[in-house]
Amino acid sequence: MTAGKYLTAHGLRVGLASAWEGRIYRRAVGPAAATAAHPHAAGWAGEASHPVLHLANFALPANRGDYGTGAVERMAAGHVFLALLEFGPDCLGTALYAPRGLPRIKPGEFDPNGMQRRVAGQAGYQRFCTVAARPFCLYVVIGSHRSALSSTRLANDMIDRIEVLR
Amino acid sequence: MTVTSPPVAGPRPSLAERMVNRVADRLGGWRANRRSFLGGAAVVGAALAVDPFGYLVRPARAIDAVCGSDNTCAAGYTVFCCTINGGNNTCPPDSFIGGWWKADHSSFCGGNARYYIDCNAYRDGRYTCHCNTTTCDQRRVACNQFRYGQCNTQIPWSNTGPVLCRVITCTPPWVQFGGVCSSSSATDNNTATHSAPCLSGQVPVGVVEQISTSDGAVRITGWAYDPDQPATSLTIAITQDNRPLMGIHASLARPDVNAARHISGNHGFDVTFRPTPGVHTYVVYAYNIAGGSGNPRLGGYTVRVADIHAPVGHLDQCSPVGDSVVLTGWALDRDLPSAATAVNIYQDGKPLMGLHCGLARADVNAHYGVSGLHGFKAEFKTAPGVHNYKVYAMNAGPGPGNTLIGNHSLIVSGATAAAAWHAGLPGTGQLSGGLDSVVATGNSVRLTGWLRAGPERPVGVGVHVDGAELHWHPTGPDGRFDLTLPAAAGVHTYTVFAVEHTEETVELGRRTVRVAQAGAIGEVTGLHAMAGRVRLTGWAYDPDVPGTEQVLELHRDGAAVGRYRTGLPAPLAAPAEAGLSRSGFSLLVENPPGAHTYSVYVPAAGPGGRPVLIGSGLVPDESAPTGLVMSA
Repeated sequence: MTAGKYLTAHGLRVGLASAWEGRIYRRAVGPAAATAAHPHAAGWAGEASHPVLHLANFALPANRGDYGTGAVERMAAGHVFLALLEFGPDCLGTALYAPRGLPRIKPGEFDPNGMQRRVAGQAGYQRFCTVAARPFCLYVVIGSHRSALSSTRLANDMIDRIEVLR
Repeated sequence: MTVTSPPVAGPRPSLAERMVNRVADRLGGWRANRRSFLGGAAVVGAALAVDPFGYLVRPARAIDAVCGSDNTCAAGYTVFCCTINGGNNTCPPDSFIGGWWKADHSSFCGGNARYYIDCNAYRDGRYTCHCNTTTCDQRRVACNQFRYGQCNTQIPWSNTGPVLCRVITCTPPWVQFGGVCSSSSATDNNTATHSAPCLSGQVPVGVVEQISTSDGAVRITGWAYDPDQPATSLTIAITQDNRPLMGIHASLARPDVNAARHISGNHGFDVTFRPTPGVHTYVVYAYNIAGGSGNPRLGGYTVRVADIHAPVGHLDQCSPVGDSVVLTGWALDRDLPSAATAVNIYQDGKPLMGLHCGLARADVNAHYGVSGLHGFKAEFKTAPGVHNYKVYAMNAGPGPGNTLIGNHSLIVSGATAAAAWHAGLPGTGQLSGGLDSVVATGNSVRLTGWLRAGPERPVGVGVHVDGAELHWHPTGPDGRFDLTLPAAAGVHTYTVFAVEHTEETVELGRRTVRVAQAGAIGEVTGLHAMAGRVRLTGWAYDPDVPGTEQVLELHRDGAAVGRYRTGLPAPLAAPAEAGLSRSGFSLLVENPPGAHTYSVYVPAAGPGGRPVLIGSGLVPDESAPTGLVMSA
């Protein structure tokens, strides 16, 4: 891991490797994003937004879904997209989020169908986990399934750089 | 350094998956065949209905307008459930709700957020990956191994199969699937235009038949249903003066509507409530549950709600004097404050006499700011023995009825202590006892218990129902009581006191039961506002499934604020059974400026169920100025 720029927000911290860029954001939802004409345009009362981290070794477009749609379509071979989404505390202790710590990926775990939206040639990886008493979903897309070995190294290197603060 | 990638020994797609991927990658789009061509006219009609503006102004095929963007298998998205599930916008069998996301500003939902709910298969191979070919919604079926992660989190990743299909709704998933989905948000606006022919449905239809006032209450009746799911009861939203007031279910039987519309299910609504006096405008909306855009307005009306009151009063004295009885007190109907209110006296459950107030009560006049004579005194001879007296203030103006202002029992001289005991009458001394059971049976409630007392200390029990209705009953010779009281359907709280010398002295117990009604029971025991927040405490549990935590839905001024769960130890006021199930709750939510009504519901347990209101209360405007006007 090389020293570089750090991205810190919402209890997440990541050291960006060279040629990588990232975003940490938390959407305004529900009444917080209401307009007079459409008070529920961005969701209804009770909706809870949580931090989302996006990392990519290519230029991230502005219009992205939380799981990367809008961005993954732009990926080429060698590109890696990584999303880390936090969920509400009601998920803590449940079977889905039982694994502890951010996972390390094996090349063989990338699946062409393991994606929210399948894109020809690409492959995805998804796991749920709990880190520092915070429930997360890690979702990684690689631009080429054929180059899974090298892309896995890149992805694991970036995962190692992520710190989840309590 | 160059790294050569070896063959990846990853999860090998099944033969079906490989074929789907290969075909989809090559086709890259939907190609019409003879059968699809024959459906073309219908598709154009649907396109005009679903997205008329988009279809008319953009150079696109009708099929694109109906199914939206990315409708091919190669586009990589998952099919809509109604496309593969017989037109039903629900998860097919052997699948589960795995999570959800939303697209903002959706025209499909009247400009509000549109919610997409993933139905995941289990990892059992029950469904195989394929492209749908039945409609222009040619998206993938059971292919994408992916999960959004907010719902059914008790199902681990190891048992999560591919996304089978997507359910579409304009209702927040944590509301529509309460207890299954959390409200943790995920957004993907890139899917905003996805659609399918089976989603091009209709908005609900219905009628507000009546918005009327009577005796200070407002009654709203009507019916509504959604043609897309005509057997399902809808949720009705009512606003008062452009502010959310309440949500109710249109779940009353309306055979006339069903016969006229050729539908089944229950679609009527009839609600009566008591607002603050004044002029109010009520508007009724029906929540859309399937296709179509928005939640239509069914009707509205402005009414004047009169400021009316039930009579008030108090029986101050009920005493034997020799062979006579003296009753004194006061009564007042604030709707006719200067009139002499009539008082009716019942002896042992039978009408005894009626009289009009005719005595001065300066204290009453000063307290209510009224004039006139509002005191009464009745003195009459009666037979020796045990007698019970109930006194009612009779309603004269508009209002909800007569008011019981006193209920006392006494011994008129001539009755012996032994006779009094056998009648279970009050005595003296220390009391103890217990409320053994309160059980609902049919349309009645049976209460059993005991009092520690001997012939020298005769007592009875007083029963309060929901803090208002009163019953007085003697105990048996062995000190036990076994009462059966008629009860209306609903949830009722019974509080039993030992009665001695016509006064309720010792609370023997308090229980809440439900009568002729399924579902949870509970109570809001505390409602405290502080520094911009409000805390609601209480308990809730379902006697049919004791030990199960309950989902709670909190409403502010009739609109859902959020979902919570019980899980705290039950407060002391809760029944003993509730204490076993960690049925307590303590909710702390923001309290915006202004006066607000908070209501706590236990949502319906399943299809056809109804939410149970377990309590509500008004939090006054914390920011309202207070003080005293010294001069004007």
